[in-house]
Amino acid sequence: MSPDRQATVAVLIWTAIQLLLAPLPALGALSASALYRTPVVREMALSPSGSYLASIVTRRGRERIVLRKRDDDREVMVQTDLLLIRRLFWIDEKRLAVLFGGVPMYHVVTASNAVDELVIREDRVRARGYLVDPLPNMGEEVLWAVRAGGNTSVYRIEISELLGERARTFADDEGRLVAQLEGNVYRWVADGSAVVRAALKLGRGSKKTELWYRAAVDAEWRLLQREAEPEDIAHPFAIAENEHDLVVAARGERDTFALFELSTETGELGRELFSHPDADIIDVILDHSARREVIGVVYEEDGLPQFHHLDSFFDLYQRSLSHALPDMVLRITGVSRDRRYFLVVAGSPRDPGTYYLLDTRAKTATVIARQMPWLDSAELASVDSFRVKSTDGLEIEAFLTRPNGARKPPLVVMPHGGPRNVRDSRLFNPLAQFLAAGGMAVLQVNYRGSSGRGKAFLDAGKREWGAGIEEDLDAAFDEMVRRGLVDGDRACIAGGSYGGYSALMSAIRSPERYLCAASLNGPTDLPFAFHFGFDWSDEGREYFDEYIADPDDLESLQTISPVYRASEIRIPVLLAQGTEDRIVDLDHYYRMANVLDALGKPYESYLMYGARHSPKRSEWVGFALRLRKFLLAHLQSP
Amino acid sequence: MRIALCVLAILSGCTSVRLLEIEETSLDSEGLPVLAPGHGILVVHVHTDVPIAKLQISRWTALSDLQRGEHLRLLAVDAGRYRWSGIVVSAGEGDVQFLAPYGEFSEFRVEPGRINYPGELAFSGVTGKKSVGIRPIVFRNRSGLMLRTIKERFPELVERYPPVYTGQKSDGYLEYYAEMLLTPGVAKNAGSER
Repeated sequence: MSPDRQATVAVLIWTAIQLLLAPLPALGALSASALYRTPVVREMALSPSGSYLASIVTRRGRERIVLRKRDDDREVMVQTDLLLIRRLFWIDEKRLAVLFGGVPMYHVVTASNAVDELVIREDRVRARGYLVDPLPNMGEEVLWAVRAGGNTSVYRIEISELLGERARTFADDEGRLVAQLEGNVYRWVADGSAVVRAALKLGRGSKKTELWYRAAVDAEWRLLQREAEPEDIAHPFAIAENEHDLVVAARGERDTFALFELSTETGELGRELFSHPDADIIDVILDHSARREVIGVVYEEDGLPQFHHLDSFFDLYQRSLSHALPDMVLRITGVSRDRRYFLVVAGSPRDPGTYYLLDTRAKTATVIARQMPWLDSAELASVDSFRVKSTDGLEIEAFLTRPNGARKPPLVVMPHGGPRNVRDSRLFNPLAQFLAAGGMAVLQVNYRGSSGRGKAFLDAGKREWGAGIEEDLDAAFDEMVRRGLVDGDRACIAGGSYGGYSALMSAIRSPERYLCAASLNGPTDLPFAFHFGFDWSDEGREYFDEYIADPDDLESLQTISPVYRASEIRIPVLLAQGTEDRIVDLDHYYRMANVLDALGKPYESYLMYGARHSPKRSEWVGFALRLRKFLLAHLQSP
Repeated sequence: MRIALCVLAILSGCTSVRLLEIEETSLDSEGLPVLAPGHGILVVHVHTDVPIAKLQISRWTALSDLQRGEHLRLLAVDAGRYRWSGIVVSAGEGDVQFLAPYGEFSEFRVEPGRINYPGELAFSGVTGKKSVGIRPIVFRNRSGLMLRTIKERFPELVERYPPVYTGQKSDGYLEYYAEMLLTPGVAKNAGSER
């Protein structure tokens, strides 16, 4: 690196550090409503020139899109009536695509940059289909996919054709049809010339995913891979440098997901571009402008996302920032085409997210927005990471949120939901912070079956409901006590979904450990869970058999169901349930409550009327208050 | 005829047959319904988002005029085998008759001296002025909710007439619950919910 460049980076990093370390003003108390209040900014995007910033913001209780010039605080709010805005990105300097709703529909905002004030024209895409590629630098054209007649077809069309009052289809538009495959294609990959070359789709008449490829626009499509087992298919992201292979995320012979080149001649994995010995790739970073080149990968280590850049330029900045601020997660979310401006979001256990605009020429880092500016990071608790050996020697991750200033606080074990393919992280967690603010340490455990740690770890969670998973929790609990970090004589367990189930089963399995247990939307009756949620298809039955238990073995299912072992519960229980939960039916709550009633076991109940499986923020506030009251009542000094 | 007749209906010469609502049976000194020999309690549990004019069991009208929502009725009936036989949905300008699906899911039994729960029938659809569309009827085992509701209405009823699931694909809950009530030391109705 040249001395001039080194100096640039050093000054930039120093500036960033000063900004990041500056105390954040306290604007409100650490209440449940403050912790669960909707962030004022959820997402930001930098235009290709770096001249504009687009944001998803919350104003007067509704999410809206706001545009502003980089050096001008004045904002223009798009008067959209859209709900459920998902994400946004710039197509080019004048057009912003907004993804909304539960279907891949797009909304295009046009911003005129010819005058001082932004002029907004909002056009909704009314055509059916989804955007494959915005084709940056190719004028008004985009690649647009349509599913019709059993096929998925890609058309190269002008974006204006997607707009307007009347919905239209392109089914007969042979002239601009550039790719077509039978079935449901959900990912297309185009090369640098905008030729669609690879596709991921569901096979005809099966739920197995297939990877297809063609060498050129006039070549035949060829099947490269068909999924034999779940999750063993290569996921294509780009055409490789040699112009004919694919860049894919896959396991291959490895245990963890890694980044490879895949030979389109043989369908075999070739050169390994990045791998981590015990962490899966959980995301790839695409080139910020054209989005057709993989420039990096994301994996998680010690509970925080890590960014590895294949591009030396970004690698330099990422390493420098990460080295200077080891406790912050610094995600580069946008870069101007001339690489002068970087949009970076910084997060940590004590910061839900702060947006910075880095000017590499002026060597400045400016705070653009904070997601939850009313929170004072000094009041929030720190979260430490641990590696723990479980009873069978399996290494698991555990994260401990410790209340500020407490020496040996009481402990709340908080298992995550899932249980399969879900994980906890050390990033800002409002419930853990709320409990810590009440003087309790919170232990989160990435038990066996959690995601991000490779296939063997994932599969280690098979059929471990009420067994190995709970042993992992016990091992983490013991380790915290052994280290003297918590008061092991004052502990409760609380969780949602599988975590709620796990709390109840832990109360049954380890009554000596806990003073109380709380379940939010936790399944309590596994035979019922099978008949209600899985017994409708062969796939559901197979899934249940493989990951939970033999559905025909009623006795075994009852052995791992809190309802049928309720007589063994000897501690107070809080049963919380959303009445409109479509995943864990309300009957799980009633069944448990009926049995506890009949047995004369003490319990509290908290029905969340209208709440679904994932509560809304306002519903979380009510639950958090009730939970903390329940926990504190039972965690008083003996 | 396997369906119990309302005494009053017989005395009045009424020719229509109806199922006996549990409140219409005689009550004992504790206010609990007393079943006649050979009778069981049938729980009719319906969740609907369309108005239902009539719900028929083995050709007899079990319930009528059900508005949208959750309905749970207790009927005293002869022990035996039954099936859901028809639904009449209220449409804007008249009622529309649907036949319940044949097959194992539409069949259930009633055991004497017990609370018999064949599951919840869930109806959903759309009604227009001249048309009505009904999605396939879904049978769901909501034993927990059913027990809760009965215990609120008749706290002691489940001890006197142990519950049993009599629809298809039992998940074992009601049988476990009934057995648990027979276990010495189990506090009956010792609910301690706070």
